[in-house]
Amino acid sequence: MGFSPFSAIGLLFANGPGILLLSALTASIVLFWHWRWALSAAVITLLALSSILAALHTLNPLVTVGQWLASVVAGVLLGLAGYFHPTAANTHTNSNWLLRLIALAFIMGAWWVIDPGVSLPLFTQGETDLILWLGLCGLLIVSLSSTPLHTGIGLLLMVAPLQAIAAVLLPGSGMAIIVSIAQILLALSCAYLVLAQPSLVRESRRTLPLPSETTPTPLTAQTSQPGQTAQPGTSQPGQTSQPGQTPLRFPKPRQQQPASLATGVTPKPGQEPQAPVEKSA
Amino acid sequence: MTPVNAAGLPFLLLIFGFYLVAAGASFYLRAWVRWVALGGAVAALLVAAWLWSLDLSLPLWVLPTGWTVDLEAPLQLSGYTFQLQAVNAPVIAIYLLIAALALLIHALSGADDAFPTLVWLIAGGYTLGALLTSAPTPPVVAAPVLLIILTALSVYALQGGRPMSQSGPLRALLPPVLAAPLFLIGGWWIEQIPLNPQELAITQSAGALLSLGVLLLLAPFPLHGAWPAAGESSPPVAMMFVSMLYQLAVLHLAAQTVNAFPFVYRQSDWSLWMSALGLMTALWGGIAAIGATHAGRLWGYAAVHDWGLIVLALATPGLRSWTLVLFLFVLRAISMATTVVGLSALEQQTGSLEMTRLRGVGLRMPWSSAAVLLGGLGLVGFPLTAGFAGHWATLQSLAVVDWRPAMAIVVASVGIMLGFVRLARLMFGAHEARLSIRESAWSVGAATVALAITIAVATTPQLLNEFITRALAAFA
Repeated sequence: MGFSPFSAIGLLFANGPGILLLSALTASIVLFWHWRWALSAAVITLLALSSILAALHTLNPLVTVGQWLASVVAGVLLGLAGYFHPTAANTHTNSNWLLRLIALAFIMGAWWVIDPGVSLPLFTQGETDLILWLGLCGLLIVSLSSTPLHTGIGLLLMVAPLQAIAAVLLPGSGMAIIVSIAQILLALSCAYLVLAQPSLVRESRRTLPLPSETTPTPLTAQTSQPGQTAQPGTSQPGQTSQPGQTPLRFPKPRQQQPASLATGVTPKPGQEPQAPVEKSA
Repeated sequence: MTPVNAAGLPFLLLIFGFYLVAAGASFYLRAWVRWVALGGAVAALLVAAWLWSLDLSLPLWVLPTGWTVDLEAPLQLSGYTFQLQAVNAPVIAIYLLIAALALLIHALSGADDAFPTLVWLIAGGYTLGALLTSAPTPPVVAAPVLLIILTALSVYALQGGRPMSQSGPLRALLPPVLAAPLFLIGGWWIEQIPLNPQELAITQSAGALLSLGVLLLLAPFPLHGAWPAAGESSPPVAMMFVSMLYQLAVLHLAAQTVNAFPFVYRQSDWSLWMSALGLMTALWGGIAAIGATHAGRLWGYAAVHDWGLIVLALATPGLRSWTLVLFLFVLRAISMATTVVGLSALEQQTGSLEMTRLRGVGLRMPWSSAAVLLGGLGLVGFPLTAGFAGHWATLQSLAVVDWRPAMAIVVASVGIMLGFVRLARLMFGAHEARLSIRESAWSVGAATVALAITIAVATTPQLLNEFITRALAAFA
């Protein structure tokens, strides 16, 4: 078990500034929250932690390769899910940046004041602090989010202590490999849940905005001719919606030929040939 | 996996082959989901009965074809040994029994065609975990990581192809992820004990870590959120199957931990933690149920209340308390299954378990509605329901020590009862528009059987004596 490329990378981070950099990167996940940044930062942190362990504890390179592979595969799975279902990634934001900043500051302050003196056997204090910080940030992300994508990112960070402990404290037990499998399966489950989410944003874009004034007259959308499409902003004076009624929806929102361009239909003066809602849908 | 010193065909190969064939067949025949589920339920029931009655003092079994099957032949994979023993055979049989129940109930609705396949895979995984008897680290140390894998797999069953809130499956992932590092560090301390057997600090550290790990795995308040959320968003049968399997695995793990390392109980605050958090879980289940507006969530809170009582009973692990824990767990399984029979039928007919959608449904589906109410109240220990005997025994043993927690639990259970009374008033209240839903004959049959079992157990709980005595071999 000699020097490996992982150890070389690990040596770059296995010092005060390196650990501070990784801690700041993890904190930035909580602060920025954007899923692309969060996922990239989480994967980079996991890879850096594996490399630090390889450098300081002379781990079997196969174990480090397994950890790198698991982290990358988990990141790719979540990234693909976020890419193919970006609306799911942007829904259900349970907090703003100020709340997240306060939460982070509270955790740091509480840790500083209480100082529980946690130390993991065989780990240096710097490593211990980094591992605990990763776990706490992961827990904070999971606590502040109800989306599968962000929960998946939080769980990735929470598995980091498990990965480190399995590789260093129980070498030769095969636990590191089992933890890597668990990490991939966790990411796969969260990715599945991301893709299984309904497209809430897309659905809401198809919904007509309610007019500001309501008058008790029949809905024109219900009496429109086949092929005609109701258009936002062009409602007739009599067009309305009752309180508590189901909002109006376009019959076929993905059809590319707007009603006004259909044969025999003349666009009204001052009306766009294609409705804005059609462009954004 | 390689068999070791087998005197014939290793029995475990047959078991794992059975799981794989069942999962494969369920997947390929998923177009006929009801028949697949029904066939799977029968198969699981037969294998469970066979495992339950297996006599391991006669380890060789001769097939009619002349082949010999070695019941106790271990299988090895990278240093991990799997073996059927007297301490894990009853647990595997109960896993299969729960799987059979889930498949049987699923056969009535047949909503999710992937569910039977997932049942076999998840049950197979839990069986694998129970069979783990030896590993490079103590098996109890490796078990929580296996639980992470199994919970991740359970997410697919809990999601059930529904485009709804995912908080239930997501929250279910948390407890094993939180607990696993504690077990691994505890495992390292256990490895240090032979090097310095007189050092008290080592056993204290290991004991505290493993106690805390077991506690996190038990998912008491405030980690209980997965089950009420899953009760609301997941198919009821999936929630029952996943939660019962997980909780049985954790109870078995707790028993293995305490039996293998007695210092875990003696040199840690196990009793204090279990008592306090068990009580809080039971109380919170009652309080939260008051405001529930969804029948599934109400059921989930009732299950949380019941689970709090089980955690409370674990405070002093011993033969008597394990008997009580198993008694409560079996009654819980009966109550849960009864509720699921009713909830599945109601959901299939009304499309939702929102309480407002269930107005007047009891007049059209009286048997299923009765199953929901009697099963749900059984989780609270209401008189003349399955859970009454278990709750009464627990409250009595608790009141002997201190009457105040017992009284608090009774008061908390009133909250859940009020929730079910509200549900009953809605279900059996008059509805302005005449409902077109109708209770199918299969639903009536299933609800009748479930109610009959519930009432039989409620009136004569000693029917379970033999079952619990046999299961106790795996725990105490």
